[in-house]
Amino acid sequence: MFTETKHVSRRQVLGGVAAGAMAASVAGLPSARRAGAQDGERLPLITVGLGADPLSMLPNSIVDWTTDIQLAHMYDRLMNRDPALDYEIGPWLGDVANIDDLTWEFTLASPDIAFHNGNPLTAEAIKAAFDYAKDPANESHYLERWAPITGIEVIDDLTVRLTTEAPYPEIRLRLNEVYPIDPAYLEEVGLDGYRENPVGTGPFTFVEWERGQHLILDRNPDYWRQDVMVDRVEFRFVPEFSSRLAALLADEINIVKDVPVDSLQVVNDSGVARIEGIPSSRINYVALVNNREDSIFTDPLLRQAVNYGVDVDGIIAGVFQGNATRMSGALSGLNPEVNSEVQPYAYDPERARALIEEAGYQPGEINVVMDAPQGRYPMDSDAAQAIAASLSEVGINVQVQYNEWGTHLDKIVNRQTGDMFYLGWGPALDALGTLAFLFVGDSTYSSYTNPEVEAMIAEASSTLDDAARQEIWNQVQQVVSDEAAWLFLWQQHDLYGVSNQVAWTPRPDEFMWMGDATPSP
Amino acid sequence: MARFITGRLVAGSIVVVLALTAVFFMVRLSGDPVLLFAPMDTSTKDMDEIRERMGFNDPLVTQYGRFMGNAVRGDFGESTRQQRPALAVVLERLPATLQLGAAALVLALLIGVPLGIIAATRHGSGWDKLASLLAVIAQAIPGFWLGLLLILLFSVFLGWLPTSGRGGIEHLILPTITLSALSIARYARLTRSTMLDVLHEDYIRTAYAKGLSARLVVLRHALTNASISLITLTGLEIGSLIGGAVVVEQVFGWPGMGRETIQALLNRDFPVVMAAAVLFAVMYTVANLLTDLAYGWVNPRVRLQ
Repeated sequence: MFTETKHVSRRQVLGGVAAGAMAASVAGLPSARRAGAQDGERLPLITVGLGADPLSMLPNSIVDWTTDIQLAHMYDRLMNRDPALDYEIGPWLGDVANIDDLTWEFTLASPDIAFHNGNPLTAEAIKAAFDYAKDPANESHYLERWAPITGIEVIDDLTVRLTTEAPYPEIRLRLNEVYPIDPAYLEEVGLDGYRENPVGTGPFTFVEWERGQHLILDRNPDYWRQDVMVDRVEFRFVPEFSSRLAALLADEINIVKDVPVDSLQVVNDSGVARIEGIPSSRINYVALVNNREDSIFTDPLLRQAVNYGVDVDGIIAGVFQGNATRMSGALSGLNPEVNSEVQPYAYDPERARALIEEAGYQPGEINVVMDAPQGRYPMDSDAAQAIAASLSEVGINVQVQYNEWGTHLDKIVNRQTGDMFYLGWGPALDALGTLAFLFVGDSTYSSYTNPEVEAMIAEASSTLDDAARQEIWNQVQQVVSDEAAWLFLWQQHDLYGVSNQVAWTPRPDEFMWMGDATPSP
Repeated sequence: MARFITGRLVAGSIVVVLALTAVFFMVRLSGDPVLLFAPMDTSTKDMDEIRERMGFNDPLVTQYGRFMGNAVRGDFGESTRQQRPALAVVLERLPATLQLGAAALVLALLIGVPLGIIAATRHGSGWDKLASLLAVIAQAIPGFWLGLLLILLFSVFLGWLPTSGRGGIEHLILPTITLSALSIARYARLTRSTMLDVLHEDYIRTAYAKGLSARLVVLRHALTNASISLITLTGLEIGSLIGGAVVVEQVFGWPGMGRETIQALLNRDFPVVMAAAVLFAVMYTVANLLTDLAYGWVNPRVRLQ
C-alpha cells in the first residue's frame, strides 16, 4: 500500500469554484496551445501533473505513491504487475523460483541489462538494494517491511538466494518493491551523490529535478526491455488540484489524476482534454466496529441490517454518476483471489428494519457516529452523507464526523472513532495485502475481529500451495460477508483528465506509466 | 543606537525561543507522525519499532530537550518524509518566498499608497468612492479564490500567463497580484484616512498659504507626516505577506516556504515544521526591528533608546 499525498483538504471547495467558473468560460477555448504531441510515432514530451514532489530519488527508501510512480520510470523492479497477467505479479528483471519452504532464488533475465551509466546489472545490485534498506542507519521504510527475508546471498552474476525464517508466500509482493541499485556507482558517489544523480536500469534517464517545480526524464535509448514511446517525461508539481485542472485545460500539462466527478463534464466539454476512467483496485468500505465493547456493532444482526439498509447502487448512480463499481465482499473483482460465489447484500429496507427489531431495538432508537475523511477518496464526504441518509430511513440515525486525514487515522488506530468509520484500501490486488492484513488482531483498519477468520488467515499466510491457499481465501471471504464485517461499498474509479493530443490508457493499480503514451491518431 | 539594536536582538531571540517552544508542543499534540509516513499496511509491531528508532516513544520533555540542544547548533534533525536535513528543505524554499513577498509588497505600495492619496485629496468625489470600493472588494475576496479566478481568466481563457510554477517574470505576475490584493486595500484605506487627518492640520493650511503647489504640499508635507502609520503597517504587512504566501504558493504551485510548511504540517513532518517556524519567527523579528529603525529615520522626534 502506498500512503498517498493526493487531495489536499480544500480540494472540493476549490474544485467547486473552479468547476463552476470553468463551465462558464472554457467552452470553445482558443486552439493555440503549447505543443505536446506531434506527428510521428513518438511523443516528444508528455507532462504529468502531480500534487507533490518525489520524496527521494533513491529507491528502496520511502513508501509513497507519488515517489514510486516517478522512480519506476527510472528504475526497474525485480518483479512487476503485468497487464498481460491481469496485473498479477510476474517476471520483470528476472523471475523467482521456490527452492524449498524457506528458500527462494531470483535469477536475472539477461546478463546484458545495464544501468544508465553503462555498468552491468548483476546479482550484486540486488544485494545492494537489500543491504541499503536493511541498514537501520538509512531509516528505510522497507527495513521492517523486508524483515521476513533474512538472508540474501549472491550465488553468481545472475542469481541471488533469498532465505526466510518461515514460509513466506508474500515474497513476490516484496520483490515487486525492490529496485536494484548500482553498487559500483554507490561506492563512487555515496548515498547523497546517488540521490542527486540517480542511476537505474529503467526506461528513462534522469535529467533534472527542480524541487517544487518539476522532474524531467529522457528516454533511455538503450533500454533493454521494450521500446518506449515518449522521448521526454516531465512530472510537474502543483499541489492544488484546481490549479492542476486549470493547467490541463490551459494545455500546459497532458495528464492529471483524480478529477472529481463534478468536474467530468467540464473536462469532456473543454475540447482540450477528455476523461479516461478505470475501475481501480482501491476499495472503499465502512467499518462496523465489532471489536470494541461499547460498539453497537458487536451484534452481527445490526451489521447485516446496515448492509441491507444502504442503497449502495443508488449512491453509485447518484453521487458517483456511475463512476464506481460495487463490491460483493472484502475483495474487488480485480483481485484474482476474489470468491465469485460471494453475493452483495441486496438493498432491502424492510429486512433491515426487521433485523433491527430482532436485535432488540425500535426504529429511530439507534444513534451512531460515523467518522469520515474529507477529500481523501473520491466524493467521500458526499458518499458519507448519502450513507447516513439511507440508514436514517431504516431507523439508524448516523451523525457524520468529518476528520482531517491524519486525525482520521489517529482515531482509527487509537480506537476513538464512532461505531462506524469510512476508509479506503489499496492498491488491493492480492489477498495477502488485504485480507491477511486487515482481518488480523493487531490491525484496527477493519475493526473486525473473528478468531475463526484469524486462524484461517494464519494458515493461508504460511501456505505456499496456490490452490490450497485459494480455498482458504474463499472461506475467509464467505465468512466475512456472512458476518457483514463491513458495509461493503465499491471500488473507486480512477478518473484521469487526459489531453486530446495524447493517447494513453490508465491502469487499475494506480501506476501512471507514461512510456506507452503516443500521439493521438 | 547599537545598544537599542542589541536590546532588540536579545528580545527577538527570546521571542524565537518561545515561538519554537510553543510550536514544538503544539505540533506534537497534532498526532502520531509515524502513522502518516509509514505505509498503511505496516504492522503495529513495526510501527512501534519505527517510533522507537525515531525517538517518538521518549517522554515529551526528553524530546524537547534533545530538540533544543540540537537546534541551538542549527540542527533541526532530518525530515521524516524526505530523509534529509530539515533546515536545508526549508532554506532552499526561502528565496522563492522572499521573491514573491517582496514583489507583492512593492506592488502594494505602488498601487495602495497612490490610491489612498487620490481618495484623500479628492475626498467625496467619484475617485474617492471608486478607490474605497476597490479597497473593500480587495479586502473581501479570499486569496485562494482570487487566485483561481485569475488563473481561469489569464491562463485558461486568454492563455496569456502560465497557471503555476516559478520561472520568468510571467510566472510572478498572477501570484503577486493575488498576494498583494489585501495589502493594496490596507495601504489605500490607511493612506486615505491618515492623509485626511493630516490635510486638515494647520501646517498644511500654512503651506498652501505660502503658495506651495498642491503636489508639493501633499507629497512633502502631508505624506511625510502620514508615513509613520504606513511604516507601522509595512511592518505588519511583511508578516501578513509571509503568512498569506502559504495559500498563494499552494494555489500557484509556487515552490516557497509556505507551500513546504503546509505539506509538512499535513504530513506531520515535525523537523521541517520546526525549521520553518524558526525562519518565520526570525523574519518577523527582523521585520519589527527594521520598522523601529525606520521610525527614527522618518521622524527624528522618535528617540531610539
